[in-house]
Amino acid sequence: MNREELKAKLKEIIEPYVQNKEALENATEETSLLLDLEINSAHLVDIILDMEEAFDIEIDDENAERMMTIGQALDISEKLLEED
Amino acid sequence: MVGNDLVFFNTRTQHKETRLTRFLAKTFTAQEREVLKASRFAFMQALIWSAKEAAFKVFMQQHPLQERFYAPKKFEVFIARVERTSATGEVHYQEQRYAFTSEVHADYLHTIACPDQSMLTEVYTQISPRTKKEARSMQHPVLGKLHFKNNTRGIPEAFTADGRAKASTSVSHDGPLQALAFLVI
Repeated sequence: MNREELKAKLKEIIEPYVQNKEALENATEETSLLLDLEINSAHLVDIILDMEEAFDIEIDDENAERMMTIGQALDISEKLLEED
Repeated sequence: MVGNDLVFFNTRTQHKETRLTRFLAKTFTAQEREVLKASRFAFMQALIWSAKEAAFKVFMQQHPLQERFYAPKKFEVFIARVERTSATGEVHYQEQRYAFTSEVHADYLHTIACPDQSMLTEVYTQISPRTKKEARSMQHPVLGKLHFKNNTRGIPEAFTADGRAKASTSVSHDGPLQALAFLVI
C-alpha cells in the first residue's frame, strides 16, 4: 500500500468520528485530528484499534502518543508496516 | 488553573468482548482496570476517563510550549470517594498531582480538575445545550458576560468587553451538551 492508498484508507477509518466533515474533505498531512477534524479525544483509541485491524499492525503506547495529525498517523502506519 | 470534561453516557463506544480487552489495555492502568472490574463498569469508565481528560487540560495550560500528545495511561486516576451524585479523587502525572471533583447526573457526568483541591470550589461552571464554537459564553456574577475563544493551541480563553480575562478556562462537549469552566487566577 503506498502513502496515498494508506491516506485514503485512514480517512475512511476516521470518518465516523470526525465532527468537522468539511475539514476532512480538505485534509492535508498537517491536519490535526483533534483541533481541525474535531474528533473527541475519547475516540482516539477507537481509531487506533480500527487502524490496527485494518492494517494488521500493533500500535504501542509510544507510537500512539505522537499520533496527533494525519501525517503522523501515516508515518507510524508506514513504519510499522515496513517492520512487519 | 482548571480543566474540565463532560461525558454523555450514550455517546461512548460499546466494544465487543474481543476488542474490549485491547481497548482497556490501551486506555487504563492496571490499578484503574482493577477498579473497573469491581464497579459499575460504564459509569466508572466514564468517571476515570473524564478525570484524565480534565487533568490533561490543566497540564497543557501549565506547559505552554508542550505539543499536544495522547497518553491516557500516564495520567493515572485514584478515586477517593464515589457517591450517588458526586465523586472526588486525584490524578497523578509523573510528579504532578491534580485534584478532581465530578457531578453525576442521569445522562452525563462533568468533571473539573485543578492543581490544588482548594481551587475546586472557586470554579464557575455552566452546562448548556451545545452551541457553535463562536457562540460559547457564560454570565459571571462580577465580570459580566464572558465569551470563550480558542487560542492557536486549541486552549480556550475568556474575554470580557474590556479584553482577555485573567482566568483559566476550559470547554468540553459531548452529545448534545457543552460544559464551560472558569477560574479567576
